Amino acid sequence: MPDAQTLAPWLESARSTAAADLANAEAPTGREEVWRYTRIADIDLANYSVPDADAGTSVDPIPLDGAAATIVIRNGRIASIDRTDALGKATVSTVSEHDDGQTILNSVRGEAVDVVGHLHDAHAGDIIVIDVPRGHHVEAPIAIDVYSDVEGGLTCPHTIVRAANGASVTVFERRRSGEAAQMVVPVVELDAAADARVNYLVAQQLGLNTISLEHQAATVGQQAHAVCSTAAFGGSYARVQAEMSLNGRGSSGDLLSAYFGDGEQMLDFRTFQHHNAPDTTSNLLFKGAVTGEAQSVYSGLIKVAESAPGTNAFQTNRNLKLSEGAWAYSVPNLEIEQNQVSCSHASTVGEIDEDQRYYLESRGVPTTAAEQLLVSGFFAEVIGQFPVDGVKAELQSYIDDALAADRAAQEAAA
Amino acid sequence: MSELVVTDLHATVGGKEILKGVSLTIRSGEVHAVMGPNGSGKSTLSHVITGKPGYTVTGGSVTLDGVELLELAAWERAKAGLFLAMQYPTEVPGVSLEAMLTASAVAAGRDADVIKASIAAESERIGFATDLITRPLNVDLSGGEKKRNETVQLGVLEPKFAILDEIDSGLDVDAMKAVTRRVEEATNADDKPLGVLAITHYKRLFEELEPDHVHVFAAGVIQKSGGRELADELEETGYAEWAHLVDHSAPTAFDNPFGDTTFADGLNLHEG
Repeated sequence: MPDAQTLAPWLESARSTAAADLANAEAPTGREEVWRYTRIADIDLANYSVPDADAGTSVDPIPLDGAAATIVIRNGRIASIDRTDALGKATVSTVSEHDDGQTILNSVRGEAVDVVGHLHDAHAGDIIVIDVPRGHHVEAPIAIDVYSDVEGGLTCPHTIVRAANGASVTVFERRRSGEAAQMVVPVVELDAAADARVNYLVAQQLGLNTISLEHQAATVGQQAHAVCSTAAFGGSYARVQAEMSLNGRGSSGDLLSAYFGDGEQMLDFRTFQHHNAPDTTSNLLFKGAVTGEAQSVYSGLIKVAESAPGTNAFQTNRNLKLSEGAWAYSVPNLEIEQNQVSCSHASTVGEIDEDQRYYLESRGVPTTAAEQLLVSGFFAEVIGQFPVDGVKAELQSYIDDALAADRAAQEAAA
Repeated sequence: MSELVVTDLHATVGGKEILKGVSLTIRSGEVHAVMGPNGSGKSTLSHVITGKPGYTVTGGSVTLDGVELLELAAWERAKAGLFLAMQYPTEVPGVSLEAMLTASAVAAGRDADVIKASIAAESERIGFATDLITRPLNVDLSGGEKKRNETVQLGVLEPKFAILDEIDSGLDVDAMKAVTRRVEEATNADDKPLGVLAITHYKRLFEELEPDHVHVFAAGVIQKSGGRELADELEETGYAEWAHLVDHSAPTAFDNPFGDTTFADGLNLHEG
């Protein structure tokens, strides 16, 4: 097996091809539907380049209690992989270590279709592959801790999770970055074979000068289940494209997100629920809050193929606007080529309910504390469904603290 | 001994005057009943005293032991010792009774660690199922359960004064007994007895809760005051004597008894 840190020749050549594609590709203008309402036109990709291989950093990973394995990635390179017995027969490796790495890579996401995809493919190197063999259950979550802090740096984390027939695994990825202006272009591929279960949660806690352009893709086999979830808190412009493809009969998948934007942040979500097989079920719940001058965009599509009778598809996006200057946009969409389906979509943008706040205040709860309780309650519904129990309290309190800081800032300004 | 003094209180809703000079003094341990026809502004009185948004005070004062409540935020009035049992308690998804009362205790500088035990004790006292305590506030509760929930809160918060806004509405006989008996006990406490302003339409509230003073409220003012016998008299004659004073076109800012178009997560529907 080749060395984990050395790129396989096929990967080097794939990167070169992608670099050529990138050079020939046209930059998005913001006029395309998938880039509407975004800041993409303001971003000059040429401003960012891959940090030197030795650009390490001393920032410690945040441990996940009881993790079966911990992968630490610093400025785009693997810093360490710590495996425990809890992994059992599951393996953690890089794609270069696999003889069939070329067929593993992008088998879920597919070929790159735009500038961002080519950008990622041209620079992704230390690509993580988590493999769980047939019928094996990894009970403890596997943790990935990603951090970068080089000014002008471009990093392209790539995580592939493969659960073979009847296997199960949970992966928690935490992405952070320093204050330096930089760009992160992550790809996540989740592959649940028949009767398998894949749980994935990413905590996006990037610095406020980091641009993030993320692509998550999951394919779910017969009677299998996948959960792809995102807590999105950081980034200046942070975009997530999330695709759940239900390809096997009776498969199901959840797309979940809790997001909180403050200051000048823009959080941008594009979701796709692809129903390609009969009797498939997808549940989407995205709940977010924006305050300050922050903006959020949610655009979701449920697509039911003619080959997918008996589809159940649900899509719910709810947004709380916590300040005058904040802005939330929500566009649900359906595209159905099959009659035997049950689909629903709901989207709301609203403020904190005045009657609810008054009810709490009339019991002696101060205004800010009342708002904290209400916002916390709003997010509890989705955070409660996140598949990594060990971080739920942390994510919930992150939102409490962010709201308290925002309210304190508003008070100071008033 | 505490004193809640309402003096010549005037208030408007949407530019229309609903309270036209209300004066009332309640002392610790006293039960004052405010009775009146629908649309008379009874609920407005309770909301103006407790500080609900949407009402404009145009004159008068409300003091609790000399402290002007009208200058305080709603939560500060509660901290000062005022409690409102709502006619239609608001559903608050995602927030539990314990979380709310703990936040209240913290703000008041009281011991928050005893809140859980205190809720359990108060619930037991009025026959409120303890599994309702951790559920989201008022969500999927029956009318009777909501009023018991309000009464548990009254017991835990130990206010100086409680305004009961039609606490008898939506209550079955058992719940009514349990709730009114608890309030009556609080008014008879040796230490800091509760003062009560009970807004109601019907006399049945007084089977367990003994009123010291009864006020007939119509057209934004107290029309007549007396003892318990006035409630008996009203039961006989009804409010016909004052019915002509009621302006049915008066806008109200009461809670909608049928609820808003609210989702489980508490967001009102505003299509984005």
